[in-house]
Amino acid sequence: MFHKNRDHCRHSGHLFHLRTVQRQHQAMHRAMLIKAPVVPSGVRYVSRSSREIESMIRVNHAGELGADRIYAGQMAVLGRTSVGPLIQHMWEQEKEHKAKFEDLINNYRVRPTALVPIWNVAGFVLGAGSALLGPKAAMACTVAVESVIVDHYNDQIRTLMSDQEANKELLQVIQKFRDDEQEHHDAGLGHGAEQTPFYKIFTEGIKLGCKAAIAISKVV
Amino acid sequence: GEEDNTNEKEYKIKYKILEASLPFVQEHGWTKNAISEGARTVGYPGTAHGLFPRGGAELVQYFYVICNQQLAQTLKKETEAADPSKCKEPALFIQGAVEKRLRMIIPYIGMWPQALVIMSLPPNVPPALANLLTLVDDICYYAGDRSVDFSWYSRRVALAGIYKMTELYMIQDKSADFEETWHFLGRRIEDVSQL
Repeated sequence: MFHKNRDHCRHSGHLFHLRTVQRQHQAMHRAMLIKAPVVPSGVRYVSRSSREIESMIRVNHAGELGADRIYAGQMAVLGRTSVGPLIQHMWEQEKEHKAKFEDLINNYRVRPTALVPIWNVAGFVLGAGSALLGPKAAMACTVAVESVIVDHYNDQIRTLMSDQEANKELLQVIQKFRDDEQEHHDAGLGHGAEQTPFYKIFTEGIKLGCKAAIAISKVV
Repeated sequence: GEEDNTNEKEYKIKYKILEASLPFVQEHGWTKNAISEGARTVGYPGTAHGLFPRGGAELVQYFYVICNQQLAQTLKKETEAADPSKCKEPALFIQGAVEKRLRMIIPYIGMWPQALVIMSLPPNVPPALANLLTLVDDICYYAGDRSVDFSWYSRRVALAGIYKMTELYMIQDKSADFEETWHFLGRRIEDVSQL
């Protein structure tokens, strides 16, 4: 049941080399960015990338920022236990994801989410709070968050697939990250997340919170 | 597809007319009359002003947008051509950029108060704010700001404030080549740098 997301929209699962492609695309994008955008008279916004792309990058950055803080919170409580190294490993990957989206924000000239301070606090509280309930609860929190994020990335991939050429860079990035998040999700399950008391309610509650945060950061 | 092509054609025509209307602003103000005159010079009938339901506001908006784009291109060239060892200090860069942008208004300065009034009417406020945000974002970006957190907002809001104040100062400045305005701008930037 938890693996259903994998089969949708999976491109040939090759790992692409971020750096060379990134450099080429940075050069190309800087050239494209200044191209005069078409300005319909009544439009509210003169933007450099389309509104959808901008919103995607903004919400993804907010998500990775939240994930970074969640793992930080979990490490603060469980850092010295047996699950410490696993959480550390997942945390390192989230930091990479966050850095990548920060790059994209600058390249695509995207307005970052205004709620950065709030997501920072909320993420840490969620991480530390779930960790205080025990290592299995921390894993359950990870499972909940990662499953929402995987669905979210899959939705974005579906949207971006409508123009694979133009959205190549973004597609590759999101696909790779989606695979990473799926790994975290499976790792969480493998470490006894489902044995948490009140697992269903706990995870549903966290999922709801994540979906709300995603909806908000798409706009704000 | 085809709809995109028709839309693009429509925009091209609109821009052609608006561009041709700018020289008539001094005489007619930011109004439908200026647009009519402009339309006639590029071969469209005077009634072409009907393409622009918001009348003069669309002319102001067009002018603002092309000035912003010109500024962005200039700033981009400046930062690319710049010798890394002689990189301009951000405050100086920003001051220069704001001055450049305000100088673009000088040919229309007589009618600029009217433009400001038009852009503060409720239906025109959203595009006006969007234009201002694009402008300060471009300036901050080329001055070197790569922040992705809340300071992204605080810097741009501060710069927008400075820009607006200087703009308002400029429309009542009678000094030669608007010297007083540039001094005013320098002082405002100094104020903010001290924060």
